[in-house]
This record gives sequence, C-alpha cells and structure tokens, in this order.
Amino acid sequence: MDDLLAQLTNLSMTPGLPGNEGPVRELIKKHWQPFIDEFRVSKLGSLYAYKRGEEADPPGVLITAHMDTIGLMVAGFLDQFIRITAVGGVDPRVLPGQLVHVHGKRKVAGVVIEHPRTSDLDLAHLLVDTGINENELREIIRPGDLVSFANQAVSFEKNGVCGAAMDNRASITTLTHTLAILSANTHAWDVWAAATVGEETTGEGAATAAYEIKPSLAIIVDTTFGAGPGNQTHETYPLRGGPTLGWGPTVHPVLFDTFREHADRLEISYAIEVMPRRSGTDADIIQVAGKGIPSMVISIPIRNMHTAVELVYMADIIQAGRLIAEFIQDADHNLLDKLHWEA
Amino acid sequence: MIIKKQTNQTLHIREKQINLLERLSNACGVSGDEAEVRRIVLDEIRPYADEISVDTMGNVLAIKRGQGGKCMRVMLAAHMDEVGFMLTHDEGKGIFRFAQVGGVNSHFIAGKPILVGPNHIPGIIGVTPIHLTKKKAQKRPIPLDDLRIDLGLDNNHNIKIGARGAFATRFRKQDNSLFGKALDDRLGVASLIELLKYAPANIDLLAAFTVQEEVGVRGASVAAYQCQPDMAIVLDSTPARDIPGDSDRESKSYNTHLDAGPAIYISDRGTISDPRLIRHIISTAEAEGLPYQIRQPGGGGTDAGGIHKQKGGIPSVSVSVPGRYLHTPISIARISDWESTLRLVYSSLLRIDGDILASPR
Amino acid sequence: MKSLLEKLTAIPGPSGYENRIRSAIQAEIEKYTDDFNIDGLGNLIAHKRSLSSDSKNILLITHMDEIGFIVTNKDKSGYARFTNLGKVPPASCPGRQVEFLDGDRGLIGSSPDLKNEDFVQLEDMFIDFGMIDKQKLPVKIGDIAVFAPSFADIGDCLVSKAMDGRVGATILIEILRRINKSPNEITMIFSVQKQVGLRGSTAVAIDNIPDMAIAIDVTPELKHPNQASNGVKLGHGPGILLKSGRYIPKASVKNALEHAANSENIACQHVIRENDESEAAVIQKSYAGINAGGLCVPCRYQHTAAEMVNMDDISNTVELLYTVIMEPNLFTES
Repeated sequence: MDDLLAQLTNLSMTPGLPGNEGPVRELIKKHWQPFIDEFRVSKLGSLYAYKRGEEADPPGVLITAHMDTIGLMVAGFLDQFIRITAVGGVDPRVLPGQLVHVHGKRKVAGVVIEHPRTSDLDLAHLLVDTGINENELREIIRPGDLVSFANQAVSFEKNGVCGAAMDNRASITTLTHTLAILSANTHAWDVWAAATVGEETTGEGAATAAYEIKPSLAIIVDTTFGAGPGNQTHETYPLRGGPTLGWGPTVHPVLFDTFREHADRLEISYAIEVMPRRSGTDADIIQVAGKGIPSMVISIPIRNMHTAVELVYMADIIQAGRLIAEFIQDADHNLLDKLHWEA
Repeated sequence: MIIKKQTNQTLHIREKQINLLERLSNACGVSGDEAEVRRIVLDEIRPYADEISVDTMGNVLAIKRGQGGKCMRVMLAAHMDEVGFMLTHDEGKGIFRFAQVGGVNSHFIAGKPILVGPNHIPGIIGVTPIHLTKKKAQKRPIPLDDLRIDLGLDNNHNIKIGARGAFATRFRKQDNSLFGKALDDRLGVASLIELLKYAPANIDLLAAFTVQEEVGVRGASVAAYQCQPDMAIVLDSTPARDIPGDSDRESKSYNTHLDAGPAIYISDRGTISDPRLIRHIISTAEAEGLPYQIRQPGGGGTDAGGIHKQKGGIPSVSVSVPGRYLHTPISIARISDWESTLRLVYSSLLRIDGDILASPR
Repeated sequence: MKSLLEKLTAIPGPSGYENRIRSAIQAEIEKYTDDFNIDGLGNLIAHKRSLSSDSKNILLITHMDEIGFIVTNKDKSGYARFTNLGKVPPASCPGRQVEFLDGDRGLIGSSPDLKNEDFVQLEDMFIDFGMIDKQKLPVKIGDIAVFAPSFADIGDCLVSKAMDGRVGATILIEILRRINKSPNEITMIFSVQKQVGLRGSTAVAIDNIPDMAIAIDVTPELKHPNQASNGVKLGHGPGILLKSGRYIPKASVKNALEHAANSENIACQHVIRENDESEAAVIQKSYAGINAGGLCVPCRYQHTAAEMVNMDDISNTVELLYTVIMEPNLFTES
C-alpha cells in the first residue's frame, strides 16, 4: 500500500501533457518494469506493456488507462506576461492563483492571474506571471510550449491523496496493482497494459491502441465523479465505496455480470455507474474499433475532477486493481463463448 | 451452369408482413439491449440466408449470395434499436430518476405508460398533478429532471438502476394506417427481412440488422467493417412533419409527407448520399411508375453516417418510410408508403449492374 | 499560380459534389504523378515515387470542397428555401449571388427595410431566381449551389469565394510542377467533404504509412480585440499549427516545419485556434498512429463569398513545403 501511494504521489507530480507525455511514460515504465515481459512505445507515444499468459496462443485482454492530463499551452505574450490556451477540458474557474510549470527551454514556475480589466472568467482573459522580464522570457518560452499544474500532492488520513492529475494517474496506479497481483499468480490469457495518450484531446491513443493490439476484450479504467461539495447524489459515487462498474450500451453486459460476480464473491464494494448513452471514456472509441471489441469500464471516484486538487483514496484503487486481476486470472475460453450474443 | 432467371416479383404488404411488424413493434429493444428484436430477426431469416452471424456488438449479419459469378456486394442496413429510457437512480418506494436513451421527444412522455426490463414490468412516467402545479409551470413542458419513473409502491420484481424502459404502446392497424411504437426502425427491419427472403440473384445481399443507431450510429460502423460492401442502402424511417402550422402558416420544414411514398435522402447531418445511387433509385422509380419524395436536406442521420466513412469510402444512400411522431409513444405510418418503399428498394436492387459505380463519384 | 488559383476557385465543388473540381485538379497533376486513384467517396489520391529505395515517405493532404447551399423547399411565394453544406455563417448570405451545379443563377434575398432579426438564421432566408412567373422555379429540393465566382485583386491581396478549398490544391499542384526527381515518396490526397466534418480524410485508405503527414489548409485571421491566442496575420507567412480545437500536432512535424523555415529564411507564424478542425487530427489517429501536423495559409473573412488571402503567403507556403519534401530525411532527425 505505501509503495503504491508513493508511486501515485510521484505520478501526480510528473507532467504528461498531450503531445509531450514522455516524462510520465518513463515513470510508468519504471513502475511496471518488474511485471512486464516486453515494452513498446507506439507511434503517438503510448506505452504498451505485454505480459505473457500461460496458455499457448491465448486470447488477449487489453487493460488501459490514459496517462495524459489536461493542461495549458503558451499562446503568446502580453508584455512580460504569458497568454494561455487550454489543452483538453480545462475549468477556468479554478485557474486564478494556480501555480504552474511552463515547459520551455527550461522549466519555469509561474502563477495564473486574472487580467484586472475583465469580469468574465474565460481563458482568454487569464495570464501567467513568471516574474521573468520580457526579453529573457521570450528566450526561454515559445508559443506551443506546454504548461502543467505544479501542485505538491497532499496526503489525507486513511490513505487519501490529493493533487493534480489523479485523473487519470489513479487509474494507472490501479493497473500497476493489477500487474503486481498477476505477477504473483498465474493467468492463461495474454495481457496488454496500455498507458495511452490523447484521451483528453482527440482519443487518438485509444483508437491507435485498438488498431495495433486488436485484443479479444478491453477493460478501460478511468475516474468518475466522487460525491463532494455542490454535487447531486444521483450523479456521484461515494469515495471509499470501491470502484464503479459501468453499465450501458458501451459495456458488454456479460463482462459487467462477470465483474459483479467477482466483486460480490470477494466482498469488494462497488457502485453501479449507469451510462445510458456514451461512457465519456476511451471505451466509446475502443468498443467500435474495427470489428468491435467487447469492453468494460471500471472507474475510480475522485473529488474535484479537472482541478489541481483531485482527491482519491487508495482503498478504491486497491480494490479496483484486485478486481481486475481476479477477472483476468479467471478468464478462460468459456468467457469468450459467453460473450457471443445469442445466435 | 444454369443461372436461375430472376423474375421481377412484386413484393406486397399483406397480413403476414403486418403481423411481423406487429411483433417487431411490440418487442422492446432500447439501444444497447436489442435481444428481443434480435430473436425475432434470427427466427425469421434463418431459412433464407446462406450465412448468419452475430458480431461483438450484437449486430446480425446475414448474407445471401447472388448467382452467376462476381456480383456487386450490396449492404442493406436497418437498425433494431429504439429510443427509450434507462433508470439511473433509485429514490425508494418504487420511484426512479431516469435518463433518455436516444433522442426521445420529451414533450410527449409525461404521464405515459412504459414497460421496464426484459420481463416488460409495467411502469409509468409520473407527473405532479396539475392542481398542485404553479400557474406559470402549467403551460410549459415538464423538464426531464422533474419527471420520474414510477413502478408502484412495492417494486416486487426488484427492478434496479440500469434497467431500460420502452413505451408500452401496443401496435394496431386502422385502414391504411399503422399505429405503434418504434416504427423507427421496425419498418426498416421488417422490410429488410422481406428483402432477404426474396433476395435478387444479381447481387450479394449483405443484410445488417444493426444495434445502437439511436445513440450515435455505433453498430453500423462495426457492421460495415465486417461486410466490406461495394455500396450500401440504409432502410430507416424518417419524420413526416406535415402538420399545418399555427394559424395555417406554411410548414417550411415538413421533412417528408405521408402518402407521398418512399423518402430518398440527398443530405442529412451525417451523410451526403452518393449521387450515383440517388440517380439510380430515382430512375428506377420513374421507370417502374413508383412514387417517391425527396427528404428535405438538413438534420437527422441514419446508419449511412457510420457506413460511408469506412476506409476506402462506401457509396451510400438512405431510403426511408415516412412516419409521424417518431421518437414518441405512438407513431403513425401508411401501409401504402411502406409497400412502395419496399418495392422501390427491391426494384432498385434488381437493376443494379456493374455500371452503377463505373464513373467515379 | 495566381491564374491557377483563379481558375480553380471558379469551378464549383461543394462538399459531396467535388467531381468537377477533382477533374480539373486531375488534369493539372496527371503528367507530374506516377499514378493516382479515386476512392469510393471521391477522394483523389496521387503518388510520386522516389528513385531511391531507402527514401522516406511523406503524405500531404488538402481538401477540395467548398461550402455550399442545398435547396430544402420551394415556398408558395415562389422562392427557394435552403440550408447549408458546411459552415455557412448567416451573415455571409444576404445579397449574395449563388450558382447552381447546373448553371442556374440565383440571388439570396435581402432588404434594407427589414430588421436584422429577419435574417438571423439561414431558414429565414430565401433564394430569388428573378422569375416573373413565380411558379416557374428552375430548381427542386436537393439542388446544390455555391457562391457565384468573383475573383479580384484588392491591394496586396486576392479575394474570391472558395479560397478555402482551392488554396491548398493550388499549393500542392505547384509543388508537383516543381519537383523533378524527389528523394522521398510523396502521397498527395485531395480530399472531399472536409467542410461537413472531415469525412473524406476519415474514409481515405492509406496503403503505405508515411513517416510524416502534413495537412495544408487556410486558417482564419481572427480580429477580436481581446483575443488571447496568437493572432494570425495576412502577409506574415505560412502558419505552423500548434493547436486546432482539441487537437495537438506531433512535435516532430512541427519541428521539421520550423527547421525547414529557418533553413530557407521563411518567416512563419504560429496557429492556435479554439474551434476549427484539422484533417491532420484525423490522419494522426488513423491506423497505428501517424506523425502529423498542419501548415496553414492565413485567410480573412473565411466562409464568405469574398475570402481574402495574400499571394506571398501562398508562395512562401510552397517554398516551405518544397524544402521539406526535397530534404532526404524530411528534417525528422533535426
């Protein structure tokens, strides 16, 4: 548990913005190294990690979590201040006063401020002040450079972690735990763990992973809305209540039932997350890739999504990781047969 | 080798076809849970197809090969799913919050009966009585957030969140009109079953009974990937908004008219139909003396949206039966429109030869 | 190049009906390409092979289609109602002449007397065919039109309809004319239906995955006073795409374009746009992933009957692309 918490803390403070996921990818590779047979980096920068199954020529399961986070990009300059634009779905209300790192020729710290003349809270009216004079600034920073949130992760009691990027580093850590359990046990199926790029932008990581890996089924791990201030209870899920199991047109009902059976048997608490139309995750892309990939969505509840103070509890991550490992260990050819819709 | 000569049959809508449509319309298949409709489709087509498979998403793919050498591979698609609801939050005492699945017309749902789950448990979309409603709110449609699904106090069937609900409408025929829920697209499904039964010998007919069209045309792209057709015709149903406007103002956006025959699509929000196929179908109608109308370009979409963008590009067109009040509890369509749609598509298939796509788009 | 651009902008090619402009482009490129084919949606895919066996492979994509109009109704008073093919701002329309694919001309009605609210939406507008007998409308539902052609020199710039849709093609044709022997494999895609949601680029099959893909298009010059994004300006050179909506191009392509620009002293700008889409995004996420980026020509009054571009921007875009293509390693190792 402590190891995993330290890993998540580290992940939360390592940048991995769309187009420049290198730093977080290297860290994830380090975390997964002890459990993986082969690593590959995709054309677009996703990390594919292959763990061989016991069976000869078995089906493959893809377990995937996106490693990119939302952030900002340098759009231009206004005197000694930096103009910014969003990368992914950024919430402008939480930006003023936020400490950030601007990744130019070197990493530079700055604070997001509001242009005093405006009343509308819009990214177009926010600036970053680095304290560096204009000439020197333009030597170090250029339009297109990426900007990440610079929070220190904070620990809460009962193994809560609060910081930037829990969406989706909490899910990455979930996969790390799954891989660790799989390593200590046996599994018949091949496993592909993918830390994908571009979920916050165009979904390019999910599309290209589905194309390249072509698994028999996929488990997508993402974060979901944890019950918290200002939220309605019917749209959120309790923290420390376990992961959520997705249900809706994007999820294969047999996969849902299988996961629920395992969770009940292991006494893992969970909530059912209904997704009446789309899931809002990479599963939307993966399910309909090529000839279709039966998919399951497992989500970790976090509070304050898409801010730099996302709160998650290790208990939920560990339960989720364990549940996925259990599913994979149990997977056999019966499962593939059960996935057939009645013919 | 004796090639069976294709006689141009005349397809009819008679009691048999209407009974099939009745079963299909009464079956519940809200997007993502098309099982009940799929069972009927599989039972009907089994004696007629060369090969049948059900893919990863639940699409039914059936092939009836043509005769006499290499034939044009023609994909015909109709979607099995209907719009409906999903229970999202249990408030206790039989009351549930719910979400729409697909574009349900929310002005038409307050105070309507529904059927929940595979066992068709009765429920209702309940409302606060008008007596207890503030004057201002009485004149406005009820916001979806204020509506609830009511299963009665006891919920003895243990319905849980995630269960799907469909309108409880029972199908009926009255003179030349058909009343039912989900005519979009059980009309298309019934037509496709009929076309498979009488599959022309000059083409390879790749029938795709698709899932999840109403939630973003999701099944069709997976189906097209597997079919790899040369061209596609989508059989759907499209709104006829041919109702006189307020104070008899001319209805500008009627989309289609009832009694005017099959609606041919030139452009909707998801697809610009292939002009070669449009020309082919129109010239077929004119040659055979069949009625047709051009669906007003603009909004809406069909499975063609997911099919035509497959790698390589698949020339596609949609032909729909017009229907009033689609996506509401009770839709109305004309038997005559359905019959002429079926005949037009059938005749168009018979007239397909190697030249249809000879010149580039 | 100016006369080529003038010729291409005059040819109608609305989304979904690009065959005429495609034939014109095909006629221009035939003698400079090794082979080409047309796919199921009408995309034109041309290849120029290289002479060496270990060459790199570059893909260039630009769309041929322009925005257009489609008749939805013939109303009782004898006018045609219409809707858009692609993004047609309502403000672009009143008083404009339109040309139908079969040659008929019409005029989108307007009136100085009516209030602005009468022309807010396209569905409030109508096309007038100048028929005294109002029942003799020459069009039917589904007929398609584009803005009538009107090419002009204004100051340092050129103005016409369909600059968005033809500038890119002009650039690629010019490059093909210039190349004699190419060290790299070149695939050029003249795509269809970009204006209605990038459908041509989504459907186009790519047989040989390239080392680099560049989408060439126009980009709007924004004129809001409080803009935060780095405003693109006419006459300040080709724009290298940094962000388009949610899409972020690959750094390797961005860097290659900057390197090429530096090596030839071509002044460039950066393009960051909040809402527009780029075909580069579609190419980037296709198959197992392709390194893609965008190169843009600044354009004022995009999606109107009078889009304004600067010829020097176009020439410099040609120079820049030519430099990248002729570099044996496509600047990918820099």
